[in-house]
Amino acid sequence: MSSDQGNTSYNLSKLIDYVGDNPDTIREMIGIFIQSARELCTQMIEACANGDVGLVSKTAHKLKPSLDIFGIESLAQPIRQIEAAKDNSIECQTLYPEIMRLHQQMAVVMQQLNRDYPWAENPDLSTMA
Amino acid sequence: MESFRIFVVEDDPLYGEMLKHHLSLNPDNEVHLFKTGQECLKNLFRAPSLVSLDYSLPDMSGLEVMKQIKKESPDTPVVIVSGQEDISTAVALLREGAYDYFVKDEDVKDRLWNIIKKIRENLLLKSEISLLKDEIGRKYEFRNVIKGTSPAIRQIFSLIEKATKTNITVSVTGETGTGKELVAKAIHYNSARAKKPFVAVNVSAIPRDLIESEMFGHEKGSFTGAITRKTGKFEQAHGGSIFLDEIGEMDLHMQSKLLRVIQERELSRVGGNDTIKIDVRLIVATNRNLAEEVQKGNFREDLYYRLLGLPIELPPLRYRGNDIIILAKYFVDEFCIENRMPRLSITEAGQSKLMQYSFPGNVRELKAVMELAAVLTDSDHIDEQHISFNSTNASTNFLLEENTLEGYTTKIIRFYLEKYDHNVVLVAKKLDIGKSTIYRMMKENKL
Repeated sequence: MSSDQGNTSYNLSKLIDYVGDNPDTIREMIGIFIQSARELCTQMIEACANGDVGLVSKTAHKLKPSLDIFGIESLAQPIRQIEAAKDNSIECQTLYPEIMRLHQQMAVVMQQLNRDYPWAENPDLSTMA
Repeated sequence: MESFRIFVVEDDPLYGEMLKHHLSLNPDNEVHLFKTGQECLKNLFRAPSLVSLDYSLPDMSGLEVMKQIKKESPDTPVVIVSGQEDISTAVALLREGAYDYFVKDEDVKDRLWNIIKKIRENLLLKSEISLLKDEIGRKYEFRNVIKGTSPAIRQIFSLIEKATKTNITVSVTGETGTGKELVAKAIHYNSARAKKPFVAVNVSAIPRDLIESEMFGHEKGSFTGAITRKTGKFEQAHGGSIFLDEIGEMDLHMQSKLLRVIQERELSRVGGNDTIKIDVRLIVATNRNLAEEVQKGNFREDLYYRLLGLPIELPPLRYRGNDIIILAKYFVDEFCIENRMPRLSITEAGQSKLMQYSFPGNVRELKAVMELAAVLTDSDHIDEQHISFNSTNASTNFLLEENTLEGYTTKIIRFYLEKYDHNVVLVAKKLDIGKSTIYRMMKENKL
């Protein structure tokens, strides 16, 4: 399911396949995704800045399944390249632009999700609307 | 069936919540989500039916967590879910006891669903087996299967009860048809080993060349015809009881092997080098006099003492007095129920005929006699003409024992005492001997 409110870079069909189509559950999962993906992206940038390619790969490894579940196809390849960086002995300097691109694209996806599923990040606010 | 408790151990919050939601779609599943290995281990006391374990956790590796789970709860299936496909890791984990290993992709939920289905089916089967075992246990509750109220049989009940409370080896002796295997089963199914196997072996029925392999198993290729590995009866009985019937027929070579197994509590399969620990309760039976066989050099003395344990000597039916009638009625009732026939009674004359017979084939013979009588009668009762004895002449059997005169006298008096409920005056009158003779023999412990 992708939103009909505009262009989207995500596809929720796999997520719905997992948890069903209850809007509250979907919203809850989106909230969890946005929060954890944001943390992992920040962690990845910090690790790269610190030259810790091992941690970069490990963080990418953690983020990869969530990106797959949210059907963010544009990031399917980049996240795998970053994940393999340690094995391929790619240095952080080389990796940094790739990570920043991923970060920017993630920001776009999160914006779209927030647009299509308001209050997903903070469901308590929905009751005040 | 109680709920199926699943532990999802996953530090990826999205994946963990997704799995939890997905698995909770079945209301029979009770899903708990843990973010660290330690959290999972602390909750093992809840006895999960399945653990879905992320391979890379923040505090411990999936392998460490799994090892700990296997240590504390070896039967709990653990499924490893990993972010990356790595064949060598998968093989290592499966070797360590993982139930399955798969990569986090869209198939995870279906695979988990299938695994849960399989495990639930297994649990259901296990619970059915357990129920069946309980049923067998009730079936062999010894007062249900060994009928009778005579002093001789009450003494047997008391010994069986003692045997059930320990692991002592039991040696059951008695004439053919006295119910030695029934006693062995009653001991097993009323003991703490009741839920484990009961394996019966008739030693005399196994060819001499095959007995070692039958008892201890063999490795593939250990002899011509050994095309596969085979576990022996002792291994099959591990945790339970093994009943060795006709132990007196075992040859000396095999006796020494058996002695070693009993002493060491371990065995090696024929053609194998490994020793296998075994924990079995031994119950042996024979209709031979093993002490005499030891004297004759046919039975090892050291093995004899090892096997003697708690001796239970089953009385011949002819010494069990009124038990003959109790058993006869029981067999007729059973036969009528099995064959959907109306109940039959036994007339006074029929009972009297039964009481006068010596039953050389013991309980087994009585059963056959009563079943035939139930078939032969055309009325609602069994009379003396329906009761026929086909066994070889009882008195001839009695004389074939080659006893001393005193031995015969003792047997005759004992037979009458059992028959007439130890009424010494009546027995003395029946045999036309003095009461003092009987009292003297009692005092000398001959009766």
